[in-house]
Amino acid sequence: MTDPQLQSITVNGVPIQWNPEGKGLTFFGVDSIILWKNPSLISILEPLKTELGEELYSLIVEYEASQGTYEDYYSMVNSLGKTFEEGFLNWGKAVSAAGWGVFSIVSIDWKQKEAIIQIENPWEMTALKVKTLTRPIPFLSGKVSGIFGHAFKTNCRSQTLEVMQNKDGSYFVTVKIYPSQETLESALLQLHNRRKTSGDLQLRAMNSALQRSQHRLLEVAAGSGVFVWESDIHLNIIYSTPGISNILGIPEAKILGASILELLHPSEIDEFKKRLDFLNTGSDPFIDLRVKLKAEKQEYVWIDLNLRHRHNFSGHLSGYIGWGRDVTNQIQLENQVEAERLRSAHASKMASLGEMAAGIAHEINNPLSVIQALSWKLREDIESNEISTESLKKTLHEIENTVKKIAGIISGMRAFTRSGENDSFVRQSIKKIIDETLIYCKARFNNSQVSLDISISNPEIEINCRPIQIGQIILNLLNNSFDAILNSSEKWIKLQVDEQADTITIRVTDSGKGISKEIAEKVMLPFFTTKDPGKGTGLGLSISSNIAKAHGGKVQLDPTSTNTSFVITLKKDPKKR
Amino acid sequence: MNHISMSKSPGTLLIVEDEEGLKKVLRDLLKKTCPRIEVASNGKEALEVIQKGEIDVVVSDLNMPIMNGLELLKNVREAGLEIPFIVLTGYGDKEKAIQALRLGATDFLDKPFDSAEFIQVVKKAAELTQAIREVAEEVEGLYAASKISNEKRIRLKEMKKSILMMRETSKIYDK
Repeated sequence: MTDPQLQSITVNGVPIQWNPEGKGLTFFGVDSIILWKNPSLISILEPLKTELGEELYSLIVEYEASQGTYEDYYSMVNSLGKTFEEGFLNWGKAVSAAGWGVFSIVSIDWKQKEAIIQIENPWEMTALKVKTLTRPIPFLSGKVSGIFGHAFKTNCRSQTLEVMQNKDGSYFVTVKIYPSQETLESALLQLHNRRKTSGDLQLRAMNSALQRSQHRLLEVAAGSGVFVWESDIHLNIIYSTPGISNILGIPEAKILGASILELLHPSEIDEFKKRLDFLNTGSDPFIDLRVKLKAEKQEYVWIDLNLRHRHNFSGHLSGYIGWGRDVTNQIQLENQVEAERLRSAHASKMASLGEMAAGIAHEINNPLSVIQALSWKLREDIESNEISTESLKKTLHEIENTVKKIAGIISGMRAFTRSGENDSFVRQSIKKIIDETLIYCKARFNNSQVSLDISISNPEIEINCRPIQIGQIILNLLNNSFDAILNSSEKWIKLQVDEQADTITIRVTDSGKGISKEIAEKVMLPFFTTKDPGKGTGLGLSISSNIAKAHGGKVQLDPTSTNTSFVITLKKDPKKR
Repeated sequence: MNHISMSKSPGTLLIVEDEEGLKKVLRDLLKKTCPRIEVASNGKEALEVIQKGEIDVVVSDLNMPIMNGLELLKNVREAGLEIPFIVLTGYGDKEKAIQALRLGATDFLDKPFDSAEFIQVVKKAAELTQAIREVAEEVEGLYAASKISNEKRIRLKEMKKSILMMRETSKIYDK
């Protein structure tokens, strides 16, 4: 301390000494440093406070500040003043030189061992962002409760009574010191325990919540037919969620250790092995397979099985892992829907078949009448010996031709009533297609006095198509027109064929006055119909549209036509790009 | 009119059929029975022929373009023509046959029909025309001869109608 190099000053009786060689400073003879309140202290303490929570932070700081206050008290009563009060105030002056704040005593009750002091501009108020006012200045509170505790010779705690702010922004904090059974240490311990217990409780609550949700998850998974499984490298199952035994009706114990190959329906094993090869050779990253697994109650269940490689920590292949989902019900439903769709399509076909029947009957009755008449006449002529070989030959030839005509109608009908969707594309005259189609509707149109006008710009046009399917589209449009105008006063249908460079258009227009916008938007949708129940299935236009698409064409409603008009556009050669 | 009423021949027959092959065969079948046969391909053509007033029996298909058989029949009856009208219906299409009878068809035949029966039906129908003509002649004759009162003339006309109806009705119930 007597180093001549030291520079020193005394503020409020406190010696402050600097060593200019960079060996620091002493304050009250104790090694010290000077920090800025802001930012240095703030940036050190603020995060601590946030991290610990205000309550714990305050208690720790208050407790630590109260430790070692006996030295302060000792110097107060021995060197700083004649009385404790004087010593305390002098101590206060000294620490105020270090920027702690200015201390004053409001009252001391030695009997009750209580004191009220005031601190002006306590450093903690200006250094830290004070959020609660219950313990705004824990360091200073700790100091004073420690010092007064020694003076009162009892354990003391402190309480902030009031915080006031002056116009210049500086603070006045009033602190009451009182005797307390509870030491700061015990309060700190209690808080520690409380926090620890609450932490444990929280952990336990979280854990049980986790278990509950895991249980729920497993239950939901099992209920919805989903399971997760894991196998070793030889496909022997080493883990699975309970779902799999529910689905297969096989106890879990039997599943664990079993090979996946044993669970597969025998018909699936080859395909599964093939896919496993793809996975193992790296050409597939995982397997997604719909397979049949053997089941207890029925022959098999359908499972969507997923499977990928499982690796151990060192990255080596250790087996397989994946999930499975019971899709038996889904497949049954899909099959039902498909069957329903086929039934509808069939019903639609039968409906139009019924409509056609009258026409076909008419078409066949006529040639049958011809044969009947010709053969009757032959017999008459033979009986009356009036027949020449020449006329016999002629009549027989006529009969043969008529039979051929009937055969042609029947074969056309058989062809027409099958779907034709697997037929190959052939070049066919559009006129021939139309003529053969008209057989099925001409009679109906005649019966109901619907006039049909056919115009083909070039009768030679041929297109590459499945003729039966094109006939079906045309018939569908004609029948739709017929149903639409049947009860109108004006009844006509026009069928017009025109040719473009690579396409042809077949336009079916009827005397109807067009279709409303709402309906026009829906006419192409499957199952949409405006016909009476039982009359239409609502599939006609959507099927027609699909057929046209398969021919590189389309079926459209012409919105510009004043009469209802549908246009079929077809490529002359769909295979040519 | 006189020459027909006096003759035993069935008069002029009209065949209405859109199908060429069948039209020709029908004509051949009836050639011997009816020396005078007219043909038409649809109701509209047939109506034009009938309106000329020389047809004694109509044999008509039902299913034809432009004007079908039922429409033709309706037109004929609405015009007050009482000539026998035989319709050819598709086999099993009884509904159409009944409809035709209600509209005043004389008879119907299911296609494919028996040729002998067909000729028979046409013959009978022609005879009916004959009978009607004879009655009409008789009434006309009586009327002319006796110069009867207007009242009696009307009664005679009613009698004529009743005879026609009786004949036609008996035809239908024979079926």
